[in-house]
Amino acid sequence: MKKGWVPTQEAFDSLLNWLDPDRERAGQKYETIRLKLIKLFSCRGCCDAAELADESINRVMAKVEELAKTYNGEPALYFYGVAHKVYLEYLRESHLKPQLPPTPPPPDETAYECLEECIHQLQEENREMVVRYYQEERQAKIDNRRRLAQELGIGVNALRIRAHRIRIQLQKCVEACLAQDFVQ
Amino acid sequence: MALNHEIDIIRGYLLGQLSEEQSQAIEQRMLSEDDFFGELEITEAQLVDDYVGGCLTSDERDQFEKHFLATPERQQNLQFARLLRRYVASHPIHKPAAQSWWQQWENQSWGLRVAAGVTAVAIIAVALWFAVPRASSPDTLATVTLTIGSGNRAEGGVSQTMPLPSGNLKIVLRLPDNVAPETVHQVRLIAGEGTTRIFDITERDAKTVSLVIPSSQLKRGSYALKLLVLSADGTVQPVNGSYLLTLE
Repeated sequence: MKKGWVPTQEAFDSLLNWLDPDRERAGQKYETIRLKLIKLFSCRGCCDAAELADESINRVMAKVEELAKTYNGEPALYFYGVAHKVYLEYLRESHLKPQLPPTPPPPDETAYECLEECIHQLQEENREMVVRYYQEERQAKIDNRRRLAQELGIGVNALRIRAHRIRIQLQKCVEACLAQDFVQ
Repeated sequence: MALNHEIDIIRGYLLGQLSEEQSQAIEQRMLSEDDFFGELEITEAQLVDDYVGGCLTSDERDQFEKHFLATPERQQNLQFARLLRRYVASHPIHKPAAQSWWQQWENQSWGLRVAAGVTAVAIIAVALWFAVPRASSPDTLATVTLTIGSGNRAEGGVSQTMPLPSGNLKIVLRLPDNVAPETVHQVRLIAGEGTTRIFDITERDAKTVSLVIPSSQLKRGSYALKLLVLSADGTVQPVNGSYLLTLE
């Protein structure tokens, strides 16, 4: 990255334009790439994954005028190449040396109450589905999910995807509930 | 790549078991394929659940704690998985899986059952009309036409009753609107006592499919029939709802 380079609105607009001429689609692509970069750094064990993802994006942004003229290919893969360099630098700076965070304490009652509230807010069919999906253990769980998928008239993989979406919705709801609780 | 194989590779990546080259290949797919990224997220959640449920091997558990749990985001995911597990354990939903469709039918309203009874009498009359004159030949066909009951438990379905035919029985199934006749692969016949047999389709038109049950496989009792359709991914899936039949 150019030394002392600071992202500008103009550079950001150029980046979006490179991702897609349609502004709305470009915005969606930007968000998706950022999310994936955060996941990538997280999978590599980096504690500050969001910061490293933003650093990678800034580096691409700094070169985007040139890239738009010379780079042919999937932009996401260019981001990957840059992110990999950022990761190697991160390693060299020894930030990664495992300072394992302590195992988190068991969830407290407030979090549990938030989950109860969030599950209560689900539509009844989703509430029942998610509870049934996560019931049982090992083979009984596999059989249970197969049965549930049959009842819903969908494939087991479609059921996995549906249950995961509800889970993410619940987790976000619990986080929002806890944040609200913290503010109060 | 088969889904299970893909899941195994993703789990290996998440636990830090893959080589650098393999990890980079995974990461490139993660960046360029949205579906693959989605699969990675689902597999990650499953891995956390397996850890919480004590379903990992000791090696996996060790890698999970040393490699996987390194970030605050994943620690939050672990917390959430524990919460969800606690909730599910304290709010079990027991579906009456052992209840037969016949028991479920008995739970229907009286009005519905009376209406079904009247229909059944009419059906018996029609069936007798066709079946009795052919009783002397085992190869002759009695025919019955059935309509699917809505829902998974034959809710609202009408059980048709007819005498046990002495010959083969041709069953014509009226298809629900969302099922195209060419997608119907086979029919599963579930006897009241729980035995199951699969039959191929012998005829089909725009609104129905038919199958023939040999007389040797028929006896008095209650039956439910389920359509099995071929889905776009090549798997065979049952259609919601059942066709109900009683042979007396």
